[in-house]
Amino acid sequence: MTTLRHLIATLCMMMAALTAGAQHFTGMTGLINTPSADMNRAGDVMIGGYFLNKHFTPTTTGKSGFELDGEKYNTCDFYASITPFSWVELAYTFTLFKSVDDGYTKPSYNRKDRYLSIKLNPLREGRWYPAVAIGANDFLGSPTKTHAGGSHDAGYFSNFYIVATKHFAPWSQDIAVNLAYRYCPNGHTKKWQGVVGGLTWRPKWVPDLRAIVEYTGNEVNIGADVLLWKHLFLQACMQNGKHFSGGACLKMNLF
Amino acid sequence: MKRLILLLTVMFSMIWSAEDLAAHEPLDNDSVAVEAPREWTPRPWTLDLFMGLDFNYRDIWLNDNRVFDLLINLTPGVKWRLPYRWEIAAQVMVPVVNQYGDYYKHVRLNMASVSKQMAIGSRWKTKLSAGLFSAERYGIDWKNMVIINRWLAMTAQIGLTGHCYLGNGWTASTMKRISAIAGPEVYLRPWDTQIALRGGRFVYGDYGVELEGFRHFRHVSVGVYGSYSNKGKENAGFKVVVMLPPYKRHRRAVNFRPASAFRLTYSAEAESRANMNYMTDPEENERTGWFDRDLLPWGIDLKQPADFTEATPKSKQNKKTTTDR
Repeated sequence: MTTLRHLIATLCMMMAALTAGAQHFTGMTGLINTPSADMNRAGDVMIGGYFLNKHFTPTTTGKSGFELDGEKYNTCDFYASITPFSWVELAYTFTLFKSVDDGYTKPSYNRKDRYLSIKLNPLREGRWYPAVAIGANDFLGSPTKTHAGGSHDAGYFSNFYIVATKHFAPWSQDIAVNLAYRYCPNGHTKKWQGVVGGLTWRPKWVPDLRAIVEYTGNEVNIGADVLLWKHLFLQACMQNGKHFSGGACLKMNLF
Repeated sequence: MKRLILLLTVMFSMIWSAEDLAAHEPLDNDSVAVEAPREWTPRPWTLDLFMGLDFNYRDIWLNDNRVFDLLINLTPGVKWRLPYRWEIAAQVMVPVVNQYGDYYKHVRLNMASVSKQMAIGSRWKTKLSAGLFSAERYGIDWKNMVIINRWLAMTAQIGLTGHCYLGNGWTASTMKRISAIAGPEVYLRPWDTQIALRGGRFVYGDYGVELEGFRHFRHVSVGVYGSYSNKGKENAGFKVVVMLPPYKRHRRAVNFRPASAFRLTYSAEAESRANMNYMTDPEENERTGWFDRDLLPWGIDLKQPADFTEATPKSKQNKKTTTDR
């Protein structure tokens, strides 16, 4: 019996190790670029912004998008998210585009891409099994859909995922193993498709601090986040250990 | 057999006593013997002068090298409550930031209405309004809610309105547009969640349906909605209603205060005339609904504690005693 339990526990650890994190730059709970099955508390709201270095943004071409005159540029996004129930998170995000409008000579951040995200948590974490969540970013519309105003959806951040997260507490430390499979339906985010995941560590003496290492399918990110004064959430990361991205948000509970 | 009956009687009486005790025992010791604040409800012959903010942004065109066009108005308003739930209300728009164009640059009367609410029997509440409404409509409006049970109610709204805009001189059309919207409303009390389905003919003559779900928190309601119109086609978005402090209100003859709520609607589509409706009260929102909270309370009216409670007069503050342990 003990052997069976050890086997199940090992399998759970392996599953968790395959888990991918959630995209924290969208305001959803997760790691840095990848999702997790951890959820905020019911009633939690996050309002904030995130600096995205040019390597962090999806691949695009053309006048609009994340390239200007053939070169990628740094940008930032802004988001608001809510957890209306403990099993669902919703977020709205808009990311600034840089372009040159007619009549102007210098480029400026004058357009934006907007999208909604959702994450559902049908299975909560148990002693022997991980929490499981399914979710999607930029899931409404498609590049082929035309709106009433004549505009087209680009789906720059479009992806769908299933993720498992298992927490362990060796020596009273909180270590979470995340494993996910992420599907990206268009070419913008294809580089982040596949099996992704990461590890997080919360030191027992600073439980609001979290160290993160993740594999996005294309690069390895390291980072950390912290919750200060119960409401100010900060995150910083180095993409591939070289390119900085990070953000801040106000976190509060509506109950 | 007698022993069994005696045993059951004792058990029943113990359960009864336990339930009775639980019903009266406070949940935490800190609140023992502290008098619960009284709900603030409107009283006749009171005048409320309030100020809010109307915040609009749009991104439907290339906005002169900026991400959004902004339109921000101050919205001073007045409500005069009369006996028998009669009420006179008005609201003015004062542009502060206007990137929408000259049409919106004038200080203008946005609403001026008289209304009467009443209960018919114990399950039907109704409200009749007339005057200038929001969305540049004027006319008469009749709102109804029939309470089926604790979690289900039916709503219906019928309006006969025309266009009226008082910002640039004034323009108006004949009052001949009939709008009629009806549907069920469900309130799931364990989760303070409200789901409403409405369909019918909207203000601009389009036919459509709208389904919205709200989760109500302590002072905030957050909802998502999806709609379909035969002219604007499908749409979706979210709504946020934030009840604004101060949450303790005085009962004076004349009250100066901020607006009761800040309300935000995000629409994914830019079709502003589909599924359009007007409001007849300057402080109407999806959280508080159409009627006074104490008029046949249903749904969120029964949520405790209320958003607004009575401020304790200073003369009574010293007399309040507690037995905190």
